[in-house]
Amino acid sequence: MKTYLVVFAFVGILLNPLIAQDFKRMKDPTIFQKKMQQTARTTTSLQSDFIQVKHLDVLSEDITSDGRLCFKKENNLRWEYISPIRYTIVLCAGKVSIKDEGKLSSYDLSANKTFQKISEMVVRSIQGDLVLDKVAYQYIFQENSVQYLVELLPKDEKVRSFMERIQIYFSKKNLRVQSVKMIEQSGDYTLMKFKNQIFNESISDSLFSLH
Amino acid sequence: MKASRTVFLVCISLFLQCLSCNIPSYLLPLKEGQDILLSERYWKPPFQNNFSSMLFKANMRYGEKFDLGGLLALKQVKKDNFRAIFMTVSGTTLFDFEFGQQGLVIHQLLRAMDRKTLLKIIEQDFYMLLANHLNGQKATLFNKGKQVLLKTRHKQHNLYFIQEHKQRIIRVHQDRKVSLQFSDFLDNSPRTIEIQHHNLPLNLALKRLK
Repeated sequence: MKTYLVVFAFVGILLNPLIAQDFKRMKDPTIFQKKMQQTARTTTSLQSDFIQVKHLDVLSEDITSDGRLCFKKENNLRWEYISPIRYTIVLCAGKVSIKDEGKLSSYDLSANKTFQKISEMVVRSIQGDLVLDKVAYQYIFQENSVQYLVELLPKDEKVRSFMERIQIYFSKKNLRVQSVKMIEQSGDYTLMKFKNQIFNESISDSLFSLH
Repeated sequence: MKASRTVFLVCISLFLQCLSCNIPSYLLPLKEGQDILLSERYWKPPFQNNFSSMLFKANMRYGEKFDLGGLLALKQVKKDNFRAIFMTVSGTTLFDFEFGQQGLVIHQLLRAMDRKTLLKIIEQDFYMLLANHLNGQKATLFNKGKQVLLKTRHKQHNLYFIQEHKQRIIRVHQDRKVSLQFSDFLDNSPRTIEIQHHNLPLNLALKRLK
């Protein structure tokens, strides 16, 4: 139960709409994927602010959170919510640590394959490294004049029960992830928009350790 | 000798009486109560029929097994009916339930949480928290100094609501098994809520964000 809840807490990170305008099927997804891999290879670090919007049809107002994320190669990730609550998730050295308003808990990633897979997916998505998992997802590649849109449709029934699709929006200018939207079966969604992105600057290791 | 035996028997009888009624001991003794119907005249449920939605920071803990932080949105959808949506900080909806006179309606539930026992616990806890559905039900009112104790029944359980100033509920007990504590009030609405189970290590803490 504990592992499942942590897994699902983490899945949410992947989630995100830009108002999709006139997206059409991508002409050549293979070229796009190659470009993405090249971008991921040259990304050694990433820092970004983010705004997360949770839309629930039943509520008249969306729930908005904001925070900051830091990524450092190979697998160091700090995902920090600043408002409305302080909540930090750190992935480092095969462990995930969570600090919830001062209270710290840690989990071993190797103990759960699903969690391990999800954490890899999070780290890769942040870098823009789109390694296709055709067993788990059906992929739809689209584009408009300014963005690429990759839609992931889960094949697994368990995943489909809570997530209808994930949409990842990339800038055509620099091939970086601009936003992610996770749409639930009910139509409710979580949108994550990234801003003030800084790439390949030095980040202190101490950021990936929670006390 | 005779006197001490009498005291002993009285003590035993009181003890058995306490066990049989399952009332939290600090509420004893109860003097004669007044039979009433729960209505605005006698009580104000913690969430009155006058808000659209509230957002809480939530923390659900089950002993050492799990400790999960998240957000809980409460929304009144119609008179005496509330939606409760529990989600992780990162936005994944764990459950979306509606509580009201018609019983529990499940709008959304993460498969990993779809366990009969867990659902029953959540249902009972939220029916205590969102007590509006008890309006119109028979109850017994006991005056206890500056506080009023309202005793009623819901699904084979005794519920005890402790209300101060006849305006706001500060504690609720389901027999001796579960207790809810309300504090940090703003306009008679609690901003801090703690639900504690006494027969299992389950605790839900809520802190209002907006």
